[in-house]
Amino acid sequence: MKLTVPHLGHMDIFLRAMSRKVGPDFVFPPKTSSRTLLLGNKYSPESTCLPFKFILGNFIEALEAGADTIAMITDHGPCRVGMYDVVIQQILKDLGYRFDWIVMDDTRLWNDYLRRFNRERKKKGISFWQSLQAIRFSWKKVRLCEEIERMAHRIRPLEVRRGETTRVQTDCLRRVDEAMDDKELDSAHQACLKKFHGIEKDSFRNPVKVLITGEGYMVINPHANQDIVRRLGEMGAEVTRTMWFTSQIAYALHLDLFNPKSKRKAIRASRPYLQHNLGGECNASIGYPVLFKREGCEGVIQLHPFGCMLEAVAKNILVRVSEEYDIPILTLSLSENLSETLIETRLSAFIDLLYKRRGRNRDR
Amino acid sequence: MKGYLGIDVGSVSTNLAVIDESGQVICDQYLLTHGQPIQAVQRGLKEISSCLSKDVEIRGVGTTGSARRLTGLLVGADVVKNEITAHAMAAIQFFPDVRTVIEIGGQDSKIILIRDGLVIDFGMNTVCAAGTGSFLDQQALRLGIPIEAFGDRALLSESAVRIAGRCTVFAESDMIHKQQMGCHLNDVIAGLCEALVRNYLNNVAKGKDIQKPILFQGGVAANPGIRKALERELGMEIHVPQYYSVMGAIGSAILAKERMDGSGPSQFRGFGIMDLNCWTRNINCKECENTCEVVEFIMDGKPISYWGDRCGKWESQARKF
Repeated sequence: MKLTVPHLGHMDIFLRAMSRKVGPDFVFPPKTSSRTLLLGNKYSPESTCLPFKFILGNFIEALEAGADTIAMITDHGPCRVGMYDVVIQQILKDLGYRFDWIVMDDTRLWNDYLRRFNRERKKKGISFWQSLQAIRFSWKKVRLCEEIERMAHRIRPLEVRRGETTRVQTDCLRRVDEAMDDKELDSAHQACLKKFHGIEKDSFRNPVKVLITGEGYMVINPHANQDIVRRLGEMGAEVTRTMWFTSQIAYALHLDLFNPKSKRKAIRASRPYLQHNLGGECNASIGYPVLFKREGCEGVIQLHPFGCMLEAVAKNILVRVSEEYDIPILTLSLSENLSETLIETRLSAFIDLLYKRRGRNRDR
Repeated sequence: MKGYLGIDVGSVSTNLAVIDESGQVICDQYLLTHGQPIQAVQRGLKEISSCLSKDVEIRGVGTTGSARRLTGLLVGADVVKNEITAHAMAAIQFFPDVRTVIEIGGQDSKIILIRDGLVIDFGMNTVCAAGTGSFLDQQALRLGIPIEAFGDRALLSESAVRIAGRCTVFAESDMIHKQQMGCHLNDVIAGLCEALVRNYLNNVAKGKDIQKPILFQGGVAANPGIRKALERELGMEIHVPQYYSVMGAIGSAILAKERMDGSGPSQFRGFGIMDLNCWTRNINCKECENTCEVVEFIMDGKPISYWGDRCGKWESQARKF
């Protein structure tokens, strides 16, 4: 079995670490590129949401690379992710690909996924304890990847030479990915800290703090959001993201009960505006700005994939949140037909607005 | 005398303005870009240098508009800023109590909300360019009416026809349909103006709290038909500033003045660049899956700069020159 999954944050690093220890074999799609989107666009219904097109493109490229089994999550409720599973399967079949399909959601978790995993484990003769260790190690790895990203978010607005942080980040992620055991991972961690420390910084700058919220796929994946985190960083803003691969897993497994800024808390914070939980990230998108405003966040950017109904609901409610909490909110509607200039102009105008609000001129 | 130069290179027009120490406009220029930003800026510099008196010394340069980056490199700008900030700066300078700025340019339209001299919110057209200058230009050309007279024709209309203005293609076919039905041309033009204004208010200005006083700037502000339709639709009075077509350039000159306040000499390359041979070359970087389209800027046969790369590799190379 050669399993594949779509790209989602650092999920590939997590699963690669798992597969090295216990299996199964993975064939990851090549990094999402303009070709991925081209393929996705070509075979998707025209009006579907952007993540659908990326994911379909990922699957086609993975099948081309030799994958024979696809794992895809699904959901219930108004979010269209619930139909991804069925529709993508049908499109790929119509294209003539042959593959096995594993669908994952909370009701089928045991049947489809854990049982298969267990079977694979037994086939390879790996003990239960070993596979637990593998999960722990992979989790640690992906946590470290996200910490590296957070460090990059903090340091990028301070960097003196544009692009240095991004290069260090890419390099560090590669090192973490290559680490085979705890010892190597620890030394990679140390090396990363040293590298980030070595970046030449202008510590007199006081960057504005911007929160990126909105639909999860768009927030997590730089290829989907036009690399907004890097762009904002280079414009001199310190970025915080609401959504991470680990936070999504933690939410699904109820591991985030004590995290003050979890999705669960965000949904609770959205209650004064929206009592009913609509699903997707709608409620969380409304609640996160409330939580992060308390942390000193100065502006919010909501990412709205063109055609996403849930984020459109959130967008209109966010106007009220913006007024009541006195925090500027910019909604970016993202689709595949988006000019870079437009994004660049809006982001820089938004950053100017935030600096002007502070009552001092931007020093850059 | 000290002067500050602002250059706004947009899709349709290239505007230049020089202001003095007190913010007064010494001289301004409005030219058409004709799809060649470098040549347009060079032409503009030629014109503006001939209208400036000899004793004006350029102490700072700012660029804005969609070609701000390219222009910044060409002239050696001290500040490169987006057009929203630039337009707001100019509006606040001339009308300190302004609360709403409506700007309709060649390819994009914006709304800027200002309270107490501070930008608090803005909007820009996202999905479609219906309702911008280019489309009006196109229609004026099709009907054989000079664009300067287009708006006046709308004022002559007694009852405007209804045109669907959601999309330029449909608006055009709707206009043709009405004209073939025998509607008077003035009524069709008035209908178009109303459709564009409706489209602007329903897309760009949707959900924005529009308050008086309102400034209307950008090239389309020259069109009295649009002006009248906006006033009627909003039920509020609209001011068109004297320098409505070059407000972006004035704004970036103001930004340059602010930046250069108390700092060293300007990076301005001087008016000599209008005679230099400058061009750009596209490079498709194939180093990684991003496949960035990198632009190489060549001045007088020497590469000056690179941009468009996500990783900064090309850009750092440029620093060596």
